[in-house]
Amino acid sequence: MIRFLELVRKEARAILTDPVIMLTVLGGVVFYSFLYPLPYSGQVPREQPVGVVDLDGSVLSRQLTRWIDATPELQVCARPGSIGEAEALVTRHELAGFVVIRENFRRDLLLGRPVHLAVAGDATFFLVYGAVAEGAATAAGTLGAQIKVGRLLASGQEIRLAARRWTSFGLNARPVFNTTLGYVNYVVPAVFLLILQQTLLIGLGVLGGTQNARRLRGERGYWMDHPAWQVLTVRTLIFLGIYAVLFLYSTGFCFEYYGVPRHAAPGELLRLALPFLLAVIGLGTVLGQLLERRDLATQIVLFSSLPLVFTSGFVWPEHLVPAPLLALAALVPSTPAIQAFLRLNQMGADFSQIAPLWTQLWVQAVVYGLLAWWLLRRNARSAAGAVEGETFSHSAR
Amino acid sequence: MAGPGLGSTVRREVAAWGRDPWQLALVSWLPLVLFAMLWWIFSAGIVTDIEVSVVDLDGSRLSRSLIRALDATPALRVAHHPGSVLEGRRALSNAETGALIVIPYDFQARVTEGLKPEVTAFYNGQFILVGKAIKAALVQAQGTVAATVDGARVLAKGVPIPGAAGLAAPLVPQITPLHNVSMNSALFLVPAILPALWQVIMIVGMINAIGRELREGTWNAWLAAGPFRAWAGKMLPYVAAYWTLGALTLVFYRVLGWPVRGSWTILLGAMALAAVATAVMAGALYVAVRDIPRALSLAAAYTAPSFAFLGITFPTNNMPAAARLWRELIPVCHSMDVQVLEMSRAAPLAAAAPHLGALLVFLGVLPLVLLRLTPLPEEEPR
Repeated sequence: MIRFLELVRKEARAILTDPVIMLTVLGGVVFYSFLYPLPYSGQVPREQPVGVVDLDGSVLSRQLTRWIDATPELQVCARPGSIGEAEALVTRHELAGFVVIRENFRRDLLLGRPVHLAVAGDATFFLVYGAVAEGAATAAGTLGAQIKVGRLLASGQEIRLAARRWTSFGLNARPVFNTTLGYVNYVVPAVFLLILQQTLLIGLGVLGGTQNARRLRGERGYWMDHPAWQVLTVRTLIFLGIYAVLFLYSTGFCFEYYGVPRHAAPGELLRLALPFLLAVIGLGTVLGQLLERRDLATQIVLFSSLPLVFTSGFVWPEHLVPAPLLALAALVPSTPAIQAFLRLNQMGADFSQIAPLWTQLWVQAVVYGLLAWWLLRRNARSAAGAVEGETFSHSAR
Repeated sequence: MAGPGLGSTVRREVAAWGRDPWQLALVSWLPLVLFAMLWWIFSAGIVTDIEVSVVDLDGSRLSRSLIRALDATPALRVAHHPGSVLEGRRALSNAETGALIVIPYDFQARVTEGLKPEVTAFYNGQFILVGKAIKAALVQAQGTVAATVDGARVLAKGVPIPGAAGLAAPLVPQITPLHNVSMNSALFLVPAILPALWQVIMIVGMINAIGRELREGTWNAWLAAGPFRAWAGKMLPYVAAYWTLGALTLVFYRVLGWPVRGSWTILLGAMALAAVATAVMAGALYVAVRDIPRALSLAAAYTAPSFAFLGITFPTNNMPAAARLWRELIPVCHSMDVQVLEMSRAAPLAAAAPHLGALLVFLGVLPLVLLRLTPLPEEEPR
């Protein structure tokens, strides 16, 4: 028991006094929790600059221009004299798009001829393009409805009926779960889980890599003097303790701070977090045992971040990702964890629905745990063998 | 100044690649594998075949034609017909479907009577990129079916044909996508993801290269060339290798049919400047701590979120001032601005010049780096 407590003390000291581990684990999680959502804090693109090429110069064209300006998405910043001029402004990235009101706009509308409103948006940026399309459609729809209602009224219809009849049936398309289509709500839940995983992997990878490097230099360390299962247990418990707090910080405090919806009960989230963190700790320990230098973990984990984000299914639909890449991604805890977490906490699924993903995390936790134990034992034994060999050669000399 | 010249410092660095397989990987196969992997993820290009469910409470000819119109859009596939709205909602919560469309009772009858019934569609807004594709397809399908009904009704009343279309929808916006005609998501995302990754790989490769000297106890031998020649000679092979890598991505876009419309000279110049700026920043991070693992932690904090700051997914003009300031500090954000101007559109040099100038500002940090590149009194391998 005393030996076990000794192990706890030494392991805790190895973790807590390593500046790289602390900088990554505590510094990383807190720093990223502020930096990552920063560019998105506006949530949705607003007041994108557009130009109106008004070749009609009528009352109706000016009214349309005002309506475009009044939409939350758009702001009329320029009145280019020609389409070419407007295009040049988009090319120079000064305008997000433009609307062309052609000659005889008012006349054709009043005559009941179909009028096409030419809208151009910069499709290099999807959100900007979407804002231009949406804003222009709203403004055109408002003017179109007004004209149609006017026509129906002129043909002798009652106003309420006329207002309702400007199209045969309506579409009420409503986004659910992230009802404002806010970007923070979109990015934060998934990315924060990935940040927890990546910093934890780096922490364990640095710890393992450092101890391997020392072992390869022929040093003995406390981690070789105890059975591998004890080292693994202590390491797991210490990191689990730290990350339980960081998990609560990220998904509790930060979600509250950023106003990200929280549909799941804290107990359910912790139930999901347990196999997730255990699987990551197992994987991180495996990674640490395979590395022979203390600086490699940061690099490997850093390079894996973007591929992991884009195969986890929240940006790009899973069924469009090539199968071999999906299979690779399924080996990493963040993939099922992000999917399960988003369903549970952002989309209000109940726990029974995410059970397959939860099971996947437990399988990972067990497999990586066993692999970690085996590697720890193998490395400790090979060191013991080397030391014995050395003693032997010394005595022989 | 005494000591080895620039050329021999360069040769010394390239020779080190032979002894350090990880360093060699960082300038050769590893970035290529990562780039290929990211392109492969998005190789489908556009969002298609999102499964949606329809609860058809009407079961009429019109409701079936609406379902067919939904299924006919490339983005959607009507794959489920749940028995109730509640059942459909459960599938939506579990991301089995992207949207739940409810066609109300007496839909066709109410349309015929001109009572303007409403079709309700709940689409998953959590996955924004997919959600927007679903919304566009919903609007398109509704438009198709509504126009047919409206046109038929007006014709029945005996209005001449051109006027009929005009009465159905008096003002129709026709939107033209500029600079990405196919509205291809891969074309939108991949040319932003690769530079973000490029930035991370560059700074990691360069920090490894500088830090190797202290790790292997050759710091003083390296600095014998003098601080500037030591830094420049060491960084030159990396600037060249990563610049080539950047140029390869442009060739790659071209092969995929995403042509570079603007000036290759401006684009390649911006990439060269971004690589040099990164070499300065890699030096700055390293000399601040003189330890590879710690410098890498700083580099991770500095460059890992680059993608978020590039301004491709979320527009720069809507970022708060703090985010725009941080963005200024990341070299690849400036070369990305140039890439946006030059890749899909042929902007003049005058438009790109401010961004190129911003990259030159990074050179102002170099003297501080060189001041800290001083020989150690006693040297031990660590």
